[in-house]
Amino acid sequence: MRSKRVIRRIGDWPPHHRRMRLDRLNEPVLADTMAVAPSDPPPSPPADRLTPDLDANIASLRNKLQHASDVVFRPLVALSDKRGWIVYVDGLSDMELIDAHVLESLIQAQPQVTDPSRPLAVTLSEAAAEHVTTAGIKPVHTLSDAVESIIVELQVVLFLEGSGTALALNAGGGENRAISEPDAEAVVRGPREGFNESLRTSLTLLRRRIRTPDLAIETMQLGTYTQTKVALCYIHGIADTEIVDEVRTRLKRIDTDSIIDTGYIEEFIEDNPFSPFPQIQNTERPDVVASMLVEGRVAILADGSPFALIAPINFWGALQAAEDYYERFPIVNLIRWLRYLFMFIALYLPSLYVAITTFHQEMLPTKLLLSIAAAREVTPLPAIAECLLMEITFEALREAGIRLPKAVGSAISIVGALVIGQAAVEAGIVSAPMVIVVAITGIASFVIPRYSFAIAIRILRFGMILLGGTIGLFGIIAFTIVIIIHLSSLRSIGVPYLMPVSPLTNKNMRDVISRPPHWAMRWRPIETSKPNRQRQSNTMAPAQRMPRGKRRI
Amino acid sequence: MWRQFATCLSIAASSLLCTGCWDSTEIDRLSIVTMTGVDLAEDGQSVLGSVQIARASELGTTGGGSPSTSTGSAKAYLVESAEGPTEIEVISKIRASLPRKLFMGHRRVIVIGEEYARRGVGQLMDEVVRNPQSRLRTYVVVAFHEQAQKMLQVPSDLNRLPSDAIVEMEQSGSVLAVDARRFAKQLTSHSDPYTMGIRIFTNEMSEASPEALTLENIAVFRRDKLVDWLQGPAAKGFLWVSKDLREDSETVILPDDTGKVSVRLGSVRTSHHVVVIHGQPELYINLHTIFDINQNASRLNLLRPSNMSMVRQALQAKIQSEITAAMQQLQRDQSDPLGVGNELFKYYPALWRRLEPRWRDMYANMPVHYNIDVNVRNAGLMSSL
Repeated sequence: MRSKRVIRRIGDWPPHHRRMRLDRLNEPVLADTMAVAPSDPPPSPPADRLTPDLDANIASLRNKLQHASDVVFRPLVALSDKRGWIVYVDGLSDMELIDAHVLESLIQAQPQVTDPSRPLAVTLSEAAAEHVTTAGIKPVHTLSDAVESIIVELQVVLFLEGSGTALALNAGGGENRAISEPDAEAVVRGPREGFNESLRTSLTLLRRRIRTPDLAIETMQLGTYTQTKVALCYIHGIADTEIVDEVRTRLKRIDTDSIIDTGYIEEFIEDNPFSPFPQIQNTERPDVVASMLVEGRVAILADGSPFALIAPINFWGALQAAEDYYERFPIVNLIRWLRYLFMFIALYLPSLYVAITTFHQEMLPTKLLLSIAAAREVTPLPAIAECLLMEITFEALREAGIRLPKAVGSAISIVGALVIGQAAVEAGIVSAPMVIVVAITGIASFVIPRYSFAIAIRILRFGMILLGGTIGLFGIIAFTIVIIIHLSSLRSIGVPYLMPVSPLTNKNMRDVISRPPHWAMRWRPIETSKPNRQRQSNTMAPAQRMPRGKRRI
Repeated sequence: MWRQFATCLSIAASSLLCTGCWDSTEIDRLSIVTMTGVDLAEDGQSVLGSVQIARASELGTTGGGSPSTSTGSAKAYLVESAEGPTEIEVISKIRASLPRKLFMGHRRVIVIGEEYARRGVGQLMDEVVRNPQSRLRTYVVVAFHEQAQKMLQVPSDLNRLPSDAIVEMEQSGSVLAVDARRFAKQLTSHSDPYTMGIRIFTNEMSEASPEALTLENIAVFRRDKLVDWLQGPAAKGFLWVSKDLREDSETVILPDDTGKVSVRLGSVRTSHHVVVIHGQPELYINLHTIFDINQNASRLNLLRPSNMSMVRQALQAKIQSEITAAMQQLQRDQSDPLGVGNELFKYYPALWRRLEPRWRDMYANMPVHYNIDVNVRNAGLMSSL
């Protein structure tokens, strides 16, 4: 099945104008403060409705939850004379919160003295709501809503005698991993927070960085069994509505039993599932997500996964690390060019070595050829076999290193260094230059900041080696052309993957070939921020803030 | 999608039926030729060819230890020779006698035996230029009064391969660096080729090997045949004119027994052009040089302009005598390595067509004018002593 693509040309885009929409966030009064539930529940059959008969309600609820032994039913007497029950999932609610703000306040509450100046609480549940001191309260009218509140939203549901409305109270708690620095995306300079598995916490981290009502967070539940909460985040007025709509449509189309990680979502919504190149970025860093959002991109977070998805992305972003924007720009420029160089090394070096030593020996300087010839004198395998052997061994070592417990990890590095590096050369199985080539290639592939992109390069490297070893430089060039054709046809949520190089948009080229200073990055990427292109005024440029002839203090 | 995959897969799979990787040659199946030599065989007709092959197993570190041969050892290379009617024939004979493929892509020096050079190098250059493996940047030298085969066997004291030593000498800037491209270009134009001579000299001082190679004397050709050697001052004089000199030092003896001054070449600009006067070509040679004083071993205070001009005049006289010697010998040999004929052909084509039949005689009697400008810098601090 081919997903619908948003095909746009630059010429079609309307003139940019800034839109501030402060009135966007019209959230309900009694709603979850973080996650906004947008719509009313559909009308339910009468049999599903809660009745004023408390015992009947509890009985049918017990019946519905008979398989879930971790649901706690606790009876209580509230508002001095009303019988009631609270129902919640054990271990996922904050017990102290329930004790202090639900049980205590309800049990000790006295019936309200009627104040003539103030209208009466219309229903019993509203009266109860006034006593409960938790922040989030939502009325529940049907049995299935109650079940959903308990099981999916992990709320505490309060049933009272004589009321057809139950109250879902937010007492979210339970155990969560602490916020820690993401191991895979460490920085020397920059924030050290990472998302964790709780969507609430992750969204908090995001909201802390973008404090504007324009930050839109749309939640939906995906997965018929897991009912995973998925949040679609973007900034109103910057993000291109066409892209947001497209992402939303693709998310809504997901119909599966489980979403365990955002990786599931990525595969369901990406443009070209068969491409080795990732078309959606994943990151654990809230700062990366925040900076992407203000560029007009869209982020997808899901409960249970610390990885946020970012779309649309382009090819060049794969070579830009978060730190690039925290460190001073001259340093970053050098490092960025180093990354470009090493991306080519990661892709080409082994195949070039094989191709040149087996087909184009005249291309090497004489002395280099002689050293390589001297090293290859004793090795039994042809260069291509030697290269594949070493590359595959290296990949296996890398894979083993990831899965191993830390205590055993050092053993792998010893085995790798000694057996593969030294012993293989000394035994004359593998030539020393090949070990050097494989080692440099290995280092080069770790220089690429985006891990999933580095894997794509690795996959292609093997194709390069095979072609370079069978038809020489001709094969390498042919494969390069194939890759470039593929890349230029690739899209991320409908946006060309090679943007801004192809199609060429001069304004955004700067951030590709270099890292301009922040004061010079005046425009947001054109492909994502159609409605609002200007990032900042141009008064921060040195010529503006340091006028000539005046003393600079 | 799957259909496309299946198509691609079946095409890829069918390529497995094709045998072999067509042109691929592992490095360890090559014998890398570093230098070749051509001689006239004893019968005076056929070619005696020699190749110097680097022994890869003796070079570099194979076992992770130190280099297995010491520098200058004769073991690092191997010389193979064969006779045959043509150069190609010789190469295929040598190839047949070796277990590995001869790889000419890294031949750095071609040594031509003197006898062979006197007979003509046209057919050799034809092969060199045609051979796709051969590099045009291969240096061409002529063995001075010797067989090329002998030259290939002389080890170098400092380099493991003698070819490296020759290449480094060629690139030193004090000799003519003539490669196959330049040689062939001159051969095909209206001038005559020239190149350096190579000579074995006996070095009594050296401990490792008594014999060593040196680039000396200039081989002068008339068309493709060697006619004469420029030696000593004449060779130096030709170097001045040929625009190849980049590094040099001179010592002049000053008149009136005042002592000697050594100078180092700072920069040199050479030009020569033909002027036609009354239908007769005349050659003008212009030379602008700047020297730095290297050592003042005289009693003169060089800060004095008069003393400096004495040095200048002495240098000018020396250079002029060298260039004159070179030009006189070249005119006597009727050999035109400076490309005077080519210049005439380019700028006076009509005159050239008229003169061509008797050009060699005209060249021998052509007047040559010299304009030599010498500047000397760095009188130095010690000069006032």
